[in-house]
Amino acid sequence: MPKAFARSPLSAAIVSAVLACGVVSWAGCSAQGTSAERAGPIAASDVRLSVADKAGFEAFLARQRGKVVLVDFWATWCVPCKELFPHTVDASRRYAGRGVVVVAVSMDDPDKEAEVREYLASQGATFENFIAQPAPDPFTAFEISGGSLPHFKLYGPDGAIRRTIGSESKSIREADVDQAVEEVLAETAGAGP
Amino acid sequence: MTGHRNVVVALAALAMLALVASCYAADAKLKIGDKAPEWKDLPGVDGKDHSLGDYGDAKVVVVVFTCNHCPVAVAYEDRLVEFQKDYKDKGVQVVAINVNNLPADKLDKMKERAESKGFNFPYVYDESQKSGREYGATCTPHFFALDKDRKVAYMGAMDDNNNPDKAKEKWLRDAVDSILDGKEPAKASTQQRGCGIKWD
Repeated sequence: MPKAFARSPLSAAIVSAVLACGVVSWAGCSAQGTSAERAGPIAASDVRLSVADKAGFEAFLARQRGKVVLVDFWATWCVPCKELFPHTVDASRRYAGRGVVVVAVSMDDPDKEAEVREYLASQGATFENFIAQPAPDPFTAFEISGGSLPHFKLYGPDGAIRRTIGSESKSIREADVDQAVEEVLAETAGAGP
Repeated sequence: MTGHRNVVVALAALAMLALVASCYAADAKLKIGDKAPEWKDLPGVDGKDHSLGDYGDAKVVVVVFTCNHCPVAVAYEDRLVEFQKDYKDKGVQVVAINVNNLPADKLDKMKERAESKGFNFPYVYDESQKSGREYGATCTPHFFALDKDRKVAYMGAMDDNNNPDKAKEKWLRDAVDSILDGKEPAKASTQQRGCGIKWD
């Protein structure tokens, strides 16, 4: 390498930058652990789960003002929902420090509450959970596009709906959910309730 | 600096347009009264090819987008067989179409299911998924009833509860009864619900 470059401010800057990146990545990795880690199961009695109609759910949302809210609509009968659920649980931990609240709403019939609770416990779902009130039609009340599960919604800190991620014409991938959360966080940065 | 700002504004406008367009794409594809899309030569579990035109004599054709793996779709299989049995002599033809791209939903598995459940209607596979796209099928099961002119006269769910013992509102039956009477169904469209279709 030419002597002039080795001693130039530019080379010092490049070396510092590379070192800094190394330090930051190392710090980041040890702070988060592997993203592939699954949350351990929790006791069924520790699962926060209640039946709610749309109004009850909106009251819950109103109590989350100031936070971005990610809602995962799922059901015990929905296989793709269960494939995405560990990612939702993981997101609740990953995004907690960034002002994001995760909540899951099961579209199962309330007579399946025990099964719903057992599943949530096995998944380590430490966040708030609801079962949608079955009447009037919950898929209409909760605006599940195309009546199709899985389905996600994102609300901003002011309570306004920011994203609807439906599965009626396209399969939902984990990256779609992450991207949406990141976008909403960026759009609402600095915004209050 | 003005050059940069113009680009930013243009990009923002384009992004907004895309967002609005995607919202419209999510709305129902067909309206009540639309001419139903035709499918041609879809392979059935009986080893033959099937087209909408095969049922020229039927007063009503009930198209169901369904599949093997979705528990909601499975929960409706017996009801669908019963419905076809009850309405065969009234000139109603049920056709079940599977557009899912999933090993569990391929033709060989469809044959097994049709046999074990005693399907009394054609169960056909659309590998292109075109019929699903053209009907705007969003989940399995998703029901459409076509009148004698093959106009869409009903779309949505079969009834109001996945559990057959709890189903009270028999929307599909009521709609088909009206269509057979030459009347418009009181409830021509209901909210379908089920597993999202496995698109390519």
